[in-house]
This record gives sequence, structure tokens and C-alpha cells, in this order.
Amino acid sequence: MKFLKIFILTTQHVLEYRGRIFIWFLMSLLNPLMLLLFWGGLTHGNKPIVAGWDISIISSYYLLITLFDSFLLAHIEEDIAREDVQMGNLVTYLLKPISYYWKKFLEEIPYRIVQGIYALVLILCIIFFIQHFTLSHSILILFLGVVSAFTGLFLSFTFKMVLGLFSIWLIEVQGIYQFYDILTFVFGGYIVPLFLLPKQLAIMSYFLPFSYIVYMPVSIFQGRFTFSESVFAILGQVVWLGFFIILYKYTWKKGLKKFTGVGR
Amino acid sequence: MKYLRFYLAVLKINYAKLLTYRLHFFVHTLDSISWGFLGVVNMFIITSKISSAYGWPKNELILLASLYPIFTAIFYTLFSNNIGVIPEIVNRGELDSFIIKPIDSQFHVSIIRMDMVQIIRMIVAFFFILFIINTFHIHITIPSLTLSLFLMVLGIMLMYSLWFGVITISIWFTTLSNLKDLLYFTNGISRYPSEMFYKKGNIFISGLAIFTLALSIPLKTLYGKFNFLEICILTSLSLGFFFFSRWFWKFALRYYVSASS
Repeated sequence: MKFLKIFILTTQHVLEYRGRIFIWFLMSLLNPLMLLLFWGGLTHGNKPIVAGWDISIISSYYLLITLFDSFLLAHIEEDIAREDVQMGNLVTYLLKPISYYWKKFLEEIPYRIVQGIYALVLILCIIFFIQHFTLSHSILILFLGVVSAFTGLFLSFTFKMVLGLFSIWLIEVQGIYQFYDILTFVFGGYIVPLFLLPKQLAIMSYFLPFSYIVYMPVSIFQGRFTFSESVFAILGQVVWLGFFIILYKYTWKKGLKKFTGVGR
Repeated sequence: MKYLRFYLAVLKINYAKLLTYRLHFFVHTLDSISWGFLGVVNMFIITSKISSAYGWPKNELILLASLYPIFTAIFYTLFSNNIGVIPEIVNRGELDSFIIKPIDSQFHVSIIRMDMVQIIRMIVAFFFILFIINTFHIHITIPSLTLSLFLMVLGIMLMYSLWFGVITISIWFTTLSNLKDLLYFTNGISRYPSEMFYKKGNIFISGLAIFTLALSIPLKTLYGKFNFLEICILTSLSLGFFFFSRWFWKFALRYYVSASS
């Protein structure tokens, strides 16, 4: 019950700033839209530019990237660094009978839902006009896509929680967050799908966690992966999620010993 | 003369602030260079599968993406920090101190901060462009370079006017402090060739071509491929949007409500 109340209160707060959230959604839309326009203008009819890269796949890929980026990519780290650690508000969380992790999760979810709804509405309008869109026809694969999406959400959130907690030790964390954004952009499938990356970059992408947040759910939904490949993708997400959960617990334990709530 | 003295004083203050926080300076420099070259990486990856796009050969697309860091470095050094912080200034009611001073408020609010770290990005990007020009054996003449630099100044004026016009909206919508982040993203549109947006049959998408003109036209001029019509379009848009931004700012100030006084 307390989780529901926290969720409702946070949602009310988030809906006061729906204009700001719309701006953030536009930011997540711009880059995929540019790439969609770039590639879309190079296609002639349904002829693929390279194998497996025709207008239907291009459209669905970048639109799904926008959609899942809005729904799945957490942005909690700056809030943790600035508000909780640097301003000392973490103290209030320590006194409450609720896990810090789950409290922050419930604070983040309304933002994801509102931004995701903006993305869904706009993308449905775009699909209505462009008429080129590819999704898997298999219910089982789509179900795995949903599982993958939820796993990606938790992976993104846990990763960002760890990044946020680094601010307990580091005064200057903005550099780390910017570096994370750059790595996500390059290795997360935001430029092109991993199979179109230069070979070395593609191999690195499969070994790094960035592609397991948004790229894997998108590829599963598009029907690019077979059943076993989808299961392996989800397993990869679970492995990385497990790693970040362990890292979070370690960082939290060590961080609490170092943290001082100045002025509180 | 008053404005020149004021600007020189601003330069001295910003130079003194530059190394006050050395770690922040170092991290900000790395960030800035990384973001600047991300566009180049982006274009290298895209063009790994194609040899040309929209009438631009691969090496010209890469040069376009390589010009982007230096172009944006100039803009970010001079204007982006100032324009980006206007929503917060308006929200806190601090715009009063800019309005009551005996100096044009748009000029004052546009130049008070300078991000001098971007100068390092500019230098790194400049050497990278020299490397690209040498690698691709691009032939540049003095007249084309001079005209291209002049058009880049017009491009920066266009970018400034677009940014300032958009940020002025925050006088009415004071909570939209993330507008500047959106504008940083829209700047990225200028890495792409302007022909990508033509003939799309959609006014919104065709309108995005404005952001590309700031860099595409100077680059084409650098190659000696200048088109008189495009130069006129860039000049008209730069001057037109600049005067619009001034009018819009003065119009918006009528609706400014100070929270503190």
C-alpha cells in the first residue's frame, strides 16, 4: 500500500511538469528522427540499402528506439548526485521504513510512463502517415520483447543508481554521466543496429551493457531475433542486471560509511 | 565604445574564472572534445555502408561532420551558456538586474558568461580538420576560405537568433529550464546535409533544414561549389531571424514578472 501511495504522490508531482517532460521526449526523438530521415531518403521503394536494412526496418527500428528510450532509459543519477548526496537529502531516506532503491524507482517510474505516453502517441501518428513499419508476428516473441523491456528498465535504473552513488566519493561526476551518454550513443544501437556497426565496435557492443537496455528489446520486437536468440538476449540482460545489483549493494554499503549529511 | 569596454571587462572576468576549479576545467574539456567528435564518429559509422548521400560524397559528409565541432565551439564559447541560463534567471526573478542597467538587455544577457573551455575544443577540431583536408586531398583557395568564414559568421548569427528566439519563450513558461538541452540537440541537425530535408512534403521537416544551412552552405563554399541563391537565403535568414529575435525579446519583456521586487 505504501508503494502505491508513493507512486500516486510522485505521479501528481510529475504531472505538474509535463511541459518539461515533453521537452525531454523531444530530445530523445531528435536523433533517431534525423537518422530515420537520413536513411529513409536513401532508400528507393523497398530496395534495401544493405541486406536487412530496408525502409520498413529502418522506420520501425528508429521509432522503436525512440519509444523504448522514453520508456526504459532512467535519468535518476543527477537527482541522486545533486539532491540526495550533495544537498544531504539522503538522510531523510535513511530514516524512512522503505528501501532507498525502491523509493527512487517509484519516483522514476511516473517520468518514464508520461514520457513513454508522449512517445507512443507521436509514433502512432508517424506510423499512420508513413505506413512502413515492421513488428514480429509471433505472440511468443512479442511476449519475450515485453520481458526484455522490463529487464532493460531495471538494468538501466540499477546502472544509473550506481552512477548516482559515485557522487558520494567524487565531487565532479558530470564528466562520468556525459561519458556514459556518449558510450550509450555509440554502443547502444542509437546510431545504427549493431549488425551494421564496424566489426570491432559491434563485438565490443555485445560485451558491454549499453546495448542490453534498449537495443535488445527493440531487436526482439522487430522480429530480428529467433526464439533462442531472444532468450539469450534476455539472459545477457539478466547477467548484467545481476552484476549491477551486486555493485549497487556494495556501493551503497560503502557509501553509507562515507556519506555525511552536511547541515542535516 | 561603452559596449566594447563592457565586453573587454567580461572577457577578463571569464578568463580569471577559467582555472578557478581545475578538476572541473579538465573534465569539462574532455567532455566538450568527446561530444564534439561524437558527431564525426556518427558520420564515420553511417558512411561505412554508403559511398555518398544526397549528392555529397563520403569525404564531404565526414568533413561536414568535422566542421561541426569547430562551428559549435565558437557558438558555445560566446553564447550557449548565456542563452541557456535565461530560463533560470527569469524563474528566479533576476532578469531585473539586466533590464535596469544602461545597456541593451539582450546584449547584456547574451555575453555575460563565456565558456572558454570550448576554445580548446576549437583548437583540437581545427587540427583534425587540417588532417581531414590533407587525407582527402581537398583543394581550398583563399577566396573560397574567406567567403566561407564570412558565411560561418552568418551561420553563427542564425544559430544565435534561433536559440534566443526559442529561449525567450521561457518568459511565459518559466519551468522550461530544459529548453537549452533541447537546443543543444537541435544543433546536431547541422551535421547533416541540408538536401536531406528538401522536398519532404512536410513543413515541419522542411523547416528543420534551417539548422543545416548554417554549416552546409559555408562548407559548400569552401569547396568552391557555392550557389548564389543559397548564400542569399542564408544571409536573409540570418538577418531576418536576428531582427525577429530582437523584436520578440522586447515584446516578451512586457510580460516579464519579477518574483523578487
